Amino acid sequence: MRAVVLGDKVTIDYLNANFVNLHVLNLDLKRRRDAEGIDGVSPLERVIIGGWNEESPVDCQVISNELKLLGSLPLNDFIGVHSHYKAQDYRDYLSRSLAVTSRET
Amino acid sequence: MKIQLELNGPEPIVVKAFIPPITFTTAGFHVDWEPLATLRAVASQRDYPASTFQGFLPQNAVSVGELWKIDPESALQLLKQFAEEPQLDLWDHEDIGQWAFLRAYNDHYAEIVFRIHTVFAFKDGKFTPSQLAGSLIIDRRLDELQYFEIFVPPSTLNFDAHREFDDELTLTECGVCQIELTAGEKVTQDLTYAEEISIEEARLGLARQFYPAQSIEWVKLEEAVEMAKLLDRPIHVVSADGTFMDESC
Repeated sequence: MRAVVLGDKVTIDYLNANFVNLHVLNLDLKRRRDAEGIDGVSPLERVIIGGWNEESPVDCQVISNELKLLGSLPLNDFIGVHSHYKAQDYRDYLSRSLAVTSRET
Repeated sequence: MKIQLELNGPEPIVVKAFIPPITFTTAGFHVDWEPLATLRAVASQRDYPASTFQGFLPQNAVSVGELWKIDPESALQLLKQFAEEPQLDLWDHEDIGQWAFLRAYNDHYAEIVFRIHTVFAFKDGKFTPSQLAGSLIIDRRLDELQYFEIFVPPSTLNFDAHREFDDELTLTECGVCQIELTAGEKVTQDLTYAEEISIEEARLGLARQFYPAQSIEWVKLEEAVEMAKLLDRPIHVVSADGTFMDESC
């Protein structure tokens, strides 16, 4: 993933210009959820956990600053389908999510 | 200003290694797989010539913030105190390098930070620490090593292990380990440097040599919502079983 999608210079510039970027470890979220209960984690963590795709090791999500889940992409499935143009297709996914944000504001 | 760094002695330099038993893997490799269950340093203490550490220094004068490649043979000599068969060809296709960075200096000391990626091969698998972070402090007045350390930074998960079975099945697990090499003594008094870069900035500069995705401006979980409101932007979240900042999973 780092090499193909997030290592792409154009994608990096696009992410830095348009998003607040966050990486979380699923194990950290699961531990907090199991210890505190789903109501005990932060509102953002609740949205992330609620957006997880089943059995997906990497989900790429877009969440509005009002904490609405706008997209949740299971990355391994995405890479399997988009075999040649992963970086561009990933930017397309991000720009579609941005379009949803624009329509809602 | 550029400075030249040298090491001329005294010798030998005594290096201590420490690997306590692994206490956590995601599904139990550290209990039922012998190479992990018995993972310890090959030698708890070894002597080295100063030339081993000279390989961590730049060949030419450098300024603060300047990167250079560590001599792979010097890195491997030290890593063999951890394991019999360390490898530096991490992704099986090229030498990705072992990078060092001049973080700070004054007229007495110079501090270098570095990052190495390695794989320890076993007969039926391999063990990959997330990274080996390190630092080296040189006494510039004496051209002597003041302090040296290599360690795997603590984290939720900080290694990856691949176990191969006779039927060609390979299982992968992540876990938490502690691995350290040290020599010399830390400078305990507060140092005022003539020029310096923060340790965080130095580590990030090194990480970007290995992972372009480190050029993404990542924020902390607790800062994300406030930042998104302030900048009026959505949050792009990568929620993953492993990290892409190192080799831990």
